[in-house]
Amino acid sequence: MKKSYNFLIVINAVLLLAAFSMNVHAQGRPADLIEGFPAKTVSQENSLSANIIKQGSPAIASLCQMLQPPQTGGDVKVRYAIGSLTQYAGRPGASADRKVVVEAYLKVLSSDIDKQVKFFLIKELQWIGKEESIKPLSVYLTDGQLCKPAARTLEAIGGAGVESSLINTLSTREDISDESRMAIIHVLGNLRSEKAAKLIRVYADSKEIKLKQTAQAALANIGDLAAQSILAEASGVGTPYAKAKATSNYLLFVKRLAQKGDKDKAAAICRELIKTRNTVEDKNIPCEALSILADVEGRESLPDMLAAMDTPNDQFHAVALRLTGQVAGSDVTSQWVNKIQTVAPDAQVKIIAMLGQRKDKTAQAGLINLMKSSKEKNVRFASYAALGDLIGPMSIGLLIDALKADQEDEVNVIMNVLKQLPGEPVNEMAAVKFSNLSTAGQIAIINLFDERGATGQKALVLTCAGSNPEMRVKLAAYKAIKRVASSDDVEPVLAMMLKAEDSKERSAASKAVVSLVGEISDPQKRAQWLLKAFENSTDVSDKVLLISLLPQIGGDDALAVVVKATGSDNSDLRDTALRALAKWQDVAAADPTLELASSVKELKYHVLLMRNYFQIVASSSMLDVNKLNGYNNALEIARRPDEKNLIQLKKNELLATFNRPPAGFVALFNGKDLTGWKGLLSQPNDNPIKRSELSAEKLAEEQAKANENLKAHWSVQDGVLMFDGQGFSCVTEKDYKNFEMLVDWKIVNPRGDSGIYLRGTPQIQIWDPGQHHIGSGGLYNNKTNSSKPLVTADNPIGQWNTFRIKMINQRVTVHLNGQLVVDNTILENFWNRELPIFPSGQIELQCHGDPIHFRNIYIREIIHNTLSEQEEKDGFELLFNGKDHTGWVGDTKGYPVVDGNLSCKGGRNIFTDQVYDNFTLRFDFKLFPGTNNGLGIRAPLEGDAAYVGMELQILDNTAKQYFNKLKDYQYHGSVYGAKAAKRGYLKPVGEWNHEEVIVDGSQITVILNGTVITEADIAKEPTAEMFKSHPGLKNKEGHIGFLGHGAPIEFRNIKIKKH
Amino acid sequence: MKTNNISRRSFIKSTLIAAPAFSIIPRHVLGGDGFTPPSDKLTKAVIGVGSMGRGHLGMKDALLTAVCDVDEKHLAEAVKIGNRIRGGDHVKAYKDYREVLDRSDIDIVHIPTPPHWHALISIAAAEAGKDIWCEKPMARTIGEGKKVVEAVQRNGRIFRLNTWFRFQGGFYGMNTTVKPIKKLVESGMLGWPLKVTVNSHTGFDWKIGMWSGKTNLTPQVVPAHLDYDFWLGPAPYKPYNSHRVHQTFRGYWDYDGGGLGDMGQHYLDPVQYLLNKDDTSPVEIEADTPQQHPDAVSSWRRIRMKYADGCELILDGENKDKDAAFIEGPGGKLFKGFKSDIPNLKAKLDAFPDPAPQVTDFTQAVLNRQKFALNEENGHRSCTIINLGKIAIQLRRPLRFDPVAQRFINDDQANRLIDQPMRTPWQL
Repeated sequence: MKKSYNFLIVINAVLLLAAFSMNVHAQGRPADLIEGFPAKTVSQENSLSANIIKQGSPAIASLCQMLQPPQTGGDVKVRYAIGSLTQYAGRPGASADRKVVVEAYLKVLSSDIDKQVKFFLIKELQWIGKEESIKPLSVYLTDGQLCKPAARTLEAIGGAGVESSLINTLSTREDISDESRMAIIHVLGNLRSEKAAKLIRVYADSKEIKLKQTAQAALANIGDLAAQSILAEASGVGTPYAKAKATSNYLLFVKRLAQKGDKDKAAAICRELIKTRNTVEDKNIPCEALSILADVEGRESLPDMLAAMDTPNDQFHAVALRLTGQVAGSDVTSQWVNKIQTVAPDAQVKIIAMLGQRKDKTAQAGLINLMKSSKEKNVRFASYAALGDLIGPMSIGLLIDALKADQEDEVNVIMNVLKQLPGEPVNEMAAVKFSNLSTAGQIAIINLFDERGATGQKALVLTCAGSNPEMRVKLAAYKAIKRVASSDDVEPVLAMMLKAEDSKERSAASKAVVSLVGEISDPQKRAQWLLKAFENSTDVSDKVLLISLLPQIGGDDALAVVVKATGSDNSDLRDTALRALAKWQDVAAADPTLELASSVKELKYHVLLMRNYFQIVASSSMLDVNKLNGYNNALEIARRPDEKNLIQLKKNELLATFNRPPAGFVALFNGKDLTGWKGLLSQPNDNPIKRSELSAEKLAEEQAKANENLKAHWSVQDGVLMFDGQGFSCVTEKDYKNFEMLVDWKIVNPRGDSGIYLRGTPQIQIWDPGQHHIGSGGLYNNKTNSSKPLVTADNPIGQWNTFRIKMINQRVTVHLNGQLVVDNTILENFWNRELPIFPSGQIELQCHGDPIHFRNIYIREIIHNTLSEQEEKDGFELLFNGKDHTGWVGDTKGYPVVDGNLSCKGGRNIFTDQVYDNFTLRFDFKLFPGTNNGLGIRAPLEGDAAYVGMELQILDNTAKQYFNKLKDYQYHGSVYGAKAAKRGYLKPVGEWNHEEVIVDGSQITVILNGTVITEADIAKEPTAEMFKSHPGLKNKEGHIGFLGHGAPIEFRNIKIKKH
Repeated sequence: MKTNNISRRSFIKSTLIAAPAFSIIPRHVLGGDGFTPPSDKLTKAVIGVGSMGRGHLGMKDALLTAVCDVDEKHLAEAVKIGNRIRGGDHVKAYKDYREVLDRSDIDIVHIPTPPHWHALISIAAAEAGKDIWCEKPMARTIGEGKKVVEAVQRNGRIFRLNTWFRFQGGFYGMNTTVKPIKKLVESGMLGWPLKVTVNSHTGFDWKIGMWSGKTNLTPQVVPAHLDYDFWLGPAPYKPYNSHRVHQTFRGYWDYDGGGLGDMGQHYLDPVQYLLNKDDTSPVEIEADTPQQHPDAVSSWRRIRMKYADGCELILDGENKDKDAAFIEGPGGKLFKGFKSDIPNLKAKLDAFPDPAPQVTDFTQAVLNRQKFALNEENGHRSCTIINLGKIAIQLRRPLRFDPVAQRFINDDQANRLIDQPMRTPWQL
């Protein structure tokens, strides 16, 4: 079947080509014409299309011959090309091009081709067909399959030619189906063909319901006078929807009637419908009729709009009010203003709102009158808003006057209108009229000043706060002070606070004071006004109030005053001061708090102060060691077991974090003893070269001596490794090559000095920057390469510091307290400057004759393509040895081993020679711009592994060429074609990523840089379609491979554990 | 400084018309004493109960009474969910939406069908006297949208389009609702005209990859539970393929317009509101895009639109303009997260008046016959942006649009995309 069909197409194409080839020059083969489609840019597309059109209709026809019905497929490019031609030839002013293209479409359309292909061409003609297409398209009006598309295209073309062709078909072809008839009638209706009315009328009472409805709709659209009775009758029978639809038809007919000039009749029908059909079931019908009436009659229908308000139909009201907007004139406005008096309040409200939006000032007086005098609240409410709408800022005075009202809901409505009006004029007018307003009105205005931060109204707000007779107004004013006043106003507000007698007022005023002083930029100066008042005051209750506010304000002077007041003879003052101190969160309060917690007699104050001290210590940014001191202090003075328990708990928590390695690191120092460390041999055997020359016996002897010395001078206390400044350096038992190391250190005394030796060689400097004017961290003994730190990043002497040191091959990078101080710099060989630094060696904590402390010493060795101890224990094996392709097959040449990496410059596929079913695979990979590779799993060695096996995508999806092109399941980590991965967890191109893939039965999990990005059940999640195109999803086992697509990538540390 | 002449407001104030001020004649009276929540005074039907429609079942505007779909599976599922939400077995199932419209006891119809049905059903519902809650995009063509506006207004209907950012909810990456942005625009601090850039750097993801169509669909057997011919309705008949229907329909011009159609109105309706363009449309439209397939929607790079007053709209389909402000004018810029180059912006804004309040409770809008915040008129205008964009990427040439006549100037082919005939017997 399929075969012979294609054959026919080919024959057709050949015949057509033969027919055209006579008069065509320089014509490419049709297949060449579609090259370049779909075009990427508009200019490319236009030049492609222009080129095809230049070759003439025959070439385009040959292109169209390449179209295939959907089931055969494979003509995507052709469809793009034709879509482009249609678009290009349809551009304005391109009638010659259009003719060429349409001619070809019509030629092919008339040939013997598949109907679905014809359908496509008819659809294209919908966009560019004109007169010339009418006749060829009309042929299809009687075709069961193509009549509808043909009718649509004819409708789009329109005009008298289409009309007569449709009429001709409808009148002469009695054999056509109802479907065809409907399609024709449908178009004739939309073309409003009066000539067709008589013909269509025949079907207006057809027994075929669809045909009947189509005919009636068409007659209505045409406005066929002779159909009036049919349409009128239909509007009253049938189901509710049938009636509604028929009534809409009828009204459309009425509209057309009016358009043809018979306005009186149209209007009469509308009025009749308004009268007879205004029922609860058909609320919308009078709406529709009035809308048509308004279209037909314009202002003559105003009485009908006004009358609508007298009916109970609320939908009708809304439409009448909307339609009023179509009728201009101040007399219209007046009539509506007058109407208000005759209707119920609900309807009044709606009319008022309409008048507001009508923007005709004729309504102004009426609305003002209603606003001032209506007894109906809702009517007044509506008037406020309408006035705002109508006269904008001019309504401000009126609205503020209305704030004499004392009902809160009324005040709220007025304020909502005012809030939409320009700020400054509202503020100013409100200030002028303020004293006349009700209490509720005054409060609302003050709140408005607050919301708007109306600094211009500061004086009014301060006056209100100080002397308004209404407490509620005062309180609102105090609240507003924060926004409207500034720190310049502290003094008067403070005075008001001290003057206030009512406790609510005092509290509101003190909040205002605290917020104002908070704006003083120097924290030490914030309390100055309060301290001055404290000093000058003789009133104990004032003093008490002032002291109680100080903890919220802070400052060293304030703290001193509070501390002093804790010794006051006045018990109120003393109590307040003790409580104030117990609230003082600043680190500066730690010592006095501790002292008083220890000395105070009353248990309740002891408890409060202890709690505060404890919180200062626990929550501050104090270094751990200071926190430890704080906890120790607190333990000494704690009086109650619960206090002690809590502090001990916190202290233990802190200690527990010491000397615990972060993920990936191991501790070099266990926090308890010198396990893992040994002493440095004394000179000259501190030199690794000399040391290597010693005999085994001699070395052991020397080491024993050195270890003795170590024990004498290096000790461990509270998790800290302490050196007393005598003896020799402390060194690791093991040697290290490449590593990352963390270490905390503290110089105990000023001018103290030490250092860290890497690979037994000096050194990363540790010293007192105060003495040397250079910070710590530099590679001090370098001569050729830089020896100084990039910045001084040391903490003060006596405080802890942290190094992060990375040593890879000859180069060292150091961060001190988070700042880069040595950037990937070569460490020179101090012991023999002719040589590069040793490949490995011990790490030494230097003795330079000064006491120094260390702790939290961690290391992470960087050894690629080896298993860690843990991995060995867990049963991992190396899949890649870092040297050659042992265990790998396939395009190994495409993946040369460079510097311990499988380094692909553009290779294809390589696979393990072993087969794996369930496993955990770990590997590192580095992307390059545009990298496209994939991890093949359960794959055979032959075929496209993405389909016959499974491919877990490895892709630089940030690359430009993939932008907007990728399906969800093509992003990195996706099970290709089956399950999309989470995005956004790849490291930037050029950095190493670590990926772990767990394949267990039908479960596939991909963990990228620590985040699970894919969790798939490949038995359940893919659709039938996916299984069809990716049969490999069902594989139970196969090879593991890297699937190259010609782009560079590097791999290392490839390790596997079989399940 | 030249200020824009933003009229003060065009909405009735919701705050002042409290519900009890109106007498309401409910269609059906529930038995029993005591308080009836407003939403229980109204009934609704949901037409189109696929993935989007299911979300409409539980919306609390009215009592769910009927569901309708041409896919029996969707319908059965919706009846189950609907009855669980409503309690009891009040929810009736329909295949033909016209039978739903025949029920005079239904007040509101929700229309979460694919967009090629929105106008047809909206207009039928309006003519049947129903109020309407329609999914975005409002209509598949500008011509269809225009007719919805006419039918809704002629019949006095309340219409709500289902996107909401102009009146509630965090506005994607802006870290705020639209309200303060509107206030900022109205304050004049940014100056005029304004330029708005919409792309995923500000949280507006065009979902282009997600809702692209396929270019070579093999015909498949129509599943027994789906009436495919009815599903197509006014759309041209093309052989069935599962990618044409149910969610992925978004990738085909016949039914929608890709990610632009799907997400565009969410993003751009608030922009129309912000720029005070609710009664107008851009006058110049230009697209930079790879070629589009005649059947399937695919990716596009950039669509630029300009209004008559010089305001500009950039739809950045490539999400290329990483550092572009969301809104910028001669006076300043507003970036992602409501950040601005205007110092102290928030405090400065406090001094300015609030934007006009909006009617945001649909049930109350229906009961009180008030225009909803996002209604047929402004909804049609924001949908016109989507449809202008679609036409621009289909025709790939600069277009000029007359926002009053709602026709393109001197481009017959473009105008044929405004009015697209429907498949008989469907028509507006």
